[in-house]
Amino acid sequence: MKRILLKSLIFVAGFFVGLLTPWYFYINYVTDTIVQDQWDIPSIVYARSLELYEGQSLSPEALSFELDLLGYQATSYQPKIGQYNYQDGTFLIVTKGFNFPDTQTKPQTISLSLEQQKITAMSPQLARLEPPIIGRFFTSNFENRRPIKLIEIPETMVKGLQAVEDRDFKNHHGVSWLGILRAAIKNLMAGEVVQGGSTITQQLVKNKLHYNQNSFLRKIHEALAATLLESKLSKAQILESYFNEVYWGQDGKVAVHGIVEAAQYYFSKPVGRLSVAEQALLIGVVKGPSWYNPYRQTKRALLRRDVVLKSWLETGVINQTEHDTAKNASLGLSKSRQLKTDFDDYMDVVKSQIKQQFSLPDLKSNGLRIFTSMDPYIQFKTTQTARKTSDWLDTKTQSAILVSGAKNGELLAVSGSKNANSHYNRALLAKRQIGSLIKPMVYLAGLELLPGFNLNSSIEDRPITLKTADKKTWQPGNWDNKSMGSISAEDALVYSRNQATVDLGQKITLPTFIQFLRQMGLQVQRNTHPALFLGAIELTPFEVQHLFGIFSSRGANQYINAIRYVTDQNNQILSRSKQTMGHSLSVRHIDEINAAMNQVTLRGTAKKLTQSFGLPDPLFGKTGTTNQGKDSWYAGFTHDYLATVWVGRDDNKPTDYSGSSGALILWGHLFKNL
Amino acid sequence: MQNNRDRPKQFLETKRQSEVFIRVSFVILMALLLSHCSNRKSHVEEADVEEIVRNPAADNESLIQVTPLVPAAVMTLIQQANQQLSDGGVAEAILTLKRALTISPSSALVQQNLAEAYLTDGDYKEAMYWSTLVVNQGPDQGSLCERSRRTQALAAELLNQPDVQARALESIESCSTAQPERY
Repeated sequence: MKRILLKSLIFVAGFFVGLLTPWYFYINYVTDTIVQDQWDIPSIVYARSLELYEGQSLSPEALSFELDLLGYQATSYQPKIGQYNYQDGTFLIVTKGFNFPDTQTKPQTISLSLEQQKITAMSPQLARLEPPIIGRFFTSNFENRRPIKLIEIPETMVKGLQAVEDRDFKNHHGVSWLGILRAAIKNLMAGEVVQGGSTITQQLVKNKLHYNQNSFLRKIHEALAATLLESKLSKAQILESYFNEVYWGQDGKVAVHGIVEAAQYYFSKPVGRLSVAEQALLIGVVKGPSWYNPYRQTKRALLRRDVVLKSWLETGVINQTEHDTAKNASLGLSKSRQLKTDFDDYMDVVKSQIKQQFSLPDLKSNGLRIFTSMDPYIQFKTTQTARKTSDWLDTKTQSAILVSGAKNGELLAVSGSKNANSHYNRALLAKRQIGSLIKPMVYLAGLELLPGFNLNSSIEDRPITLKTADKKTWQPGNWDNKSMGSISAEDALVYSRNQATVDLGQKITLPTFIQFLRQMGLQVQRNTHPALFLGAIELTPFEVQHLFGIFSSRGANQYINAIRYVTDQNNQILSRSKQTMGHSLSVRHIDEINAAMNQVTLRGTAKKLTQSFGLPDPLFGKTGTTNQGKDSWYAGFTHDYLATVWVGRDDNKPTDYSGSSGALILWGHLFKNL
Repeated sequence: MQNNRDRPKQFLETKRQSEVFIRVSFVILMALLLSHCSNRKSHVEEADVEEIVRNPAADNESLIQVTPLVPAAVMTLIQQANQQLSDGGVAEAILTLKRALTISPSSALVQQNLAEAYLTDGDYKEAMYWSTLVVNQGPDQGSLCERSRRTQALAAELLNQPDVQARALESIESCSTAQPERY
């Protein structure tokens, strides 16, 4: 008996040590991350610094734009530090100096003459301006939203939150047992879950852990984490963290977190200017941002707001007059969200790449300096082009544009939408079929993998019937419903012939082609349908940019990078971006495909660029169209820049545009202005 | 007459001898390079990039020297980077060369200098990347051609890629074009 008791005791002790200890450490870690999540000193993100040297291509407009962005003042007198003078094609600039990681530059006077978009004379021989700031990250999670201090939030809101969500907040230690009991009784009586017993602290933990479902184990986990968090943070810090973190709704595919974002999203106002009625609506919405969505469920949201107002009146947060005024007010929702800046879409890429490319321990310190390759003037031109999408195409068509250095794969500009009020970054997030953009890869695979094959080889552009893996027949057709018969591989690529491409694809075989695409860095799922040879694969515009970066850099770059390097506050380099070459492609083969893509712009599907837009040769590129014009693509490059343009509808409905009548138009206008 | 008839024979004999001489020299050179590489300790601080990679080509006057067309600003930055390297500032030199690369992204001269700086820094993967770029896209004759292949060979050794190293060493010879004989 004693032995059994001893064994049971050892088992229980082992159980606690083995299971609960790691659990405790995990909870401790979770709460630590909540505590450390905010940075005192934000990280600063810089664009590239503009290099100035004799022979550099630069227009007076571009230089003025850069100087204005950096806050330089134009003057007609002898310039002082931070001023410039522009007369008769000559700029006289007195720089402010900057602490670059490689060297510290002091303020200096630069004199340069511009003729025919070039620096023709300059003193000193070489100089650079300070890099413009394009954004800031305020938390270790690289959020670019600015957290708000509790003192900046209206008192009615701070007290009001407690009145509605957790009246015992000041007294409990993370978990309100009384609240749980009250909720349990109510739920038992109702026969379903009608009230939650979660405290504000528990809700904060839940928000941080992104729980979607309630389970008993998760509730325990949440309760323990909340108790631990109360020992690490003061009540005021918990409230502040809550207001900055809590989920307040959904703007398309972008989650609205924090009171600052919520106030902008619903009312286009700073938090300090919210009326009592608006504050009450926001506090009411927290309970269920989707259920009480004021844009979609106006009546329900109005009722919820009034419940909150009543609760505030009962608890003395507001007086009767304030209550009555607020209750009579309309919802007053904003019809347009805060407009994003030209740099926001680029910042999305920085945020995504900083976590992918740099080790997180390096990035946990305060006040990082993140140096990117963004070119603000090209970004400005790109945004302008995107904004004019509806001038050239119909109003329901959206667009995404990416521009990078053709040779070095450095990302220069991104536009994720044609609208300034759309925060959904299509350039990064919209996975769409790429259509004929895949063809250069098919022909490159042919050159790499098929002995004796070259672009003069003859392939068959004839009707073809294939049996697919699901025993169905598949008959690819050409865009003009014609077949050209025996044609050279080059012509098949230049004129984007589907049947000829499938003929070549059959020789390569599907599994070999998939393997080839994986070597190019694409994450291609197992695919058994030969339509893959015609681009039946979904990629984001950013992934397409990676793909065409291989061609524009002649195999040198496989990935497009936004970040050059990251330093700490003391200017010590923590991390540099790195290039990798995961392929062993022949430069000669890439050059052959590039020569064909040059022909595409001279006599093929993109000839509009040289013939209508009058852009100077050499240009290289490929158009892409998917069924019924659902997606229109153009990816193309010069010796300097590579750009991918996608246009289509968000609801994936057909459009009237092919690659050459849709995306190519935006590309042409953009390059005309670069 | 006899002399005249013997002249082609003598010429062929001389040519054969010179060919044998070139082959023997090549084998010795390869053996020296390989033995040097295999005897090297895998520690970058001890890799004298200046001596191993740059000087052999610079001293050989028979090579065709390819002068890249880059803006004067790029040359200034390369000199600045070399100075930083001499002062022990490898990280700064890499940033200066990257700066030069933003001005001339496809300059093989900058890319090669960058490969050597990375080699000195002990970042063999980057040294391999940039030297491979010069090997693939840079000049196939002259000093840069040789330097890139030497860097690639060294980086390959340090990354334990014997096949790449062997190919790089074999291709060094192809960078040299002897002055044609005058008759």
